[in-house]
Amino acid sequence: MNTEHTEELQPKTSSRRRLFSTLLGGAAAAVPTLASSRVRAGGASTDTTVPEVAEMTTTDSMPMMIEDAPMMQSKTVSAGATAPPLQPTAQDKETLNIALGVELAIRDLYADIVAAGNLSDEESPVVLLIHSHHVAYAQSLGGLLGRAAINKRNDATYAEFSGNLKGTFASIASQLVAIENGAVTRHIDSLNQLEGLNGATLIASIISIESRHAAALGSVTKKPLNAIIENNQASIGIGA
Amino acid sequence: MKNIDINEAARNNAFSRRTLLRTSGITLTAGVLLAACSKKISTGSLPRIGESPTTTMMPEGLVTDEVLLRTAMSVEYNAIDTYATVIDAKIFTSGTNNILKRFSEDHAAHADALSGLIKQLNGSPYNKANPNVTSLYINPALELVTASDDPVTDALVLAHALETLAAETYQAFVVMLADPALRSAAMSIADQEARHTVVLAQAIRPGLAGLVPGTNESGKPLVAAIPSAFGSLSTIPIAVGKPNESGNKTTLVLETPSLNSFIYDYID
Repeated sequence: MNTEHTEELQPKTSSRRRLFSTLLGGAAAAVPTLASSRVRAGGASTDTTVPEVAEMTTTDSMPMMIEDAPMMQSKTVSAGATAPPLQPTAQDKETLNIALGVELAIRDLYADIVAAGNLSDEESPVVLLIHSHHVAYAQSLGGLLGRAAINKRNDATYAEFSGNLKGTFASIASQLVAIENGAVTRHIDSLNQLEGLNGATLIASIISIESRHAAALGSVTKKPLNAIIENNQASIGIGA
Repeated sequence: MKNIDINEAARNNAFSRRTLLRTSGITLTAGVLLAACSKKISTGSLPRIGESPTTTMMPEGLVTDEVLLRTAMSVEYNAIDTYATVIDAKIFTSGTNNILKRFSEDHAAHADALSGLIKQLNGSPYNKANPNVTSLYINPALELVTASDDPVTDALVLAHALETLAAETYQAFVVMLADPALRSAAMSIADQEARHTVVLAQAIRPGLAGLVPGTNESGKPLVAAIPSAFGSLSTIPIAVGKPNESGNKTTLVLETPSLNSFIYDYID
């Protein structure tokens, strides 16, 4: 073996080490610079300001070419700047408790009608269905309120209507329409005060069906069209 | 044959391994340094050779109270336009037409009320039908109704579905409207839309039996004046048109307006 050759390679090896170390050092020095430039680019791409096309005219076509687009501006959504709370606020709980008391009163009124036994076989399922709906409303409102629920019926509402619900279905239908319409008005008024979305959506879904209760009861008892599709009833449960 | 000294040949080689490594190392280092010092000019798009098509961009749509009210207004005009078409088609007797005219007047009043609310928000009222609702649901349904073997019932089914759609739209918007007063106003309109559905449901399935949910012989749900305990936000299926060989009508599924059919403030 030629030892001379080995000896000659020794300086080469050390030179290669220096070369690699130089390369690594240069790359390491470049990394922070590159990294910072990447961060800047990333920051620009994830800018959270909301652009808006301003001053579009009626003749503007959509989609619009970028080069033709007017200057983009950030826009503050005035009405939605602060998201409403989901859960009922302290004020909401008072409002929802009134609604709960009204629903419990209506539940008891329908229960009294069923207990009186003046309904035919055709009428009974309708009254039972509507009764079950009011039970569901009371339970849902109670569930939403949790420990804040005052599970007590609105006695003023109950007393106002209970004396007029003793007769046949045809004779009490007008009173039932008034109860349902009054409840709808009460809940629509409640929406004006409710801030929490959970309470507002629950009340809205109740309104959608209580309106139908009122119209359905008016329809099967041959009320005039205006009486079926208009609700001029004052709110029930005031002062509860 | 000439003897070749390998060591001598290696020394004389101008492109030795040492030179290769040194050159490549210097080149790489210089490249890294130049890249680090260069200014970023890319706009994020991929480099392209040759002609590139012009990029188009949709305007940014923000869902505001104004947009929601404009959308609700457009749905009111959907109902007005549909009733006008059905009345013009002379499908119904004058008695039913009078009821539809009354409903149409109610929708016009709702649109006026919404217009006032939109103006209070410094917005522009939208006095036209929702184009997506028209093209996706109403036009196909009207075609089927006019070609139906029972246009009276089918027109009533379509009207019931439209009123249900309108009522559901307001209920769906309650969770999106930021102002509680607008939520209340929306549901006061939904109140009347829901009552319209009852009148139409009773026209389709009259009497006490038509108030409660039920099914037909094949198990399909029937129209009911009081369909559920809580207001639904689900899709609204309707079966209209001339029955096929199997006796089935065409089923259409209506949905309340969503992000792709809102009337944003940039839509005129």
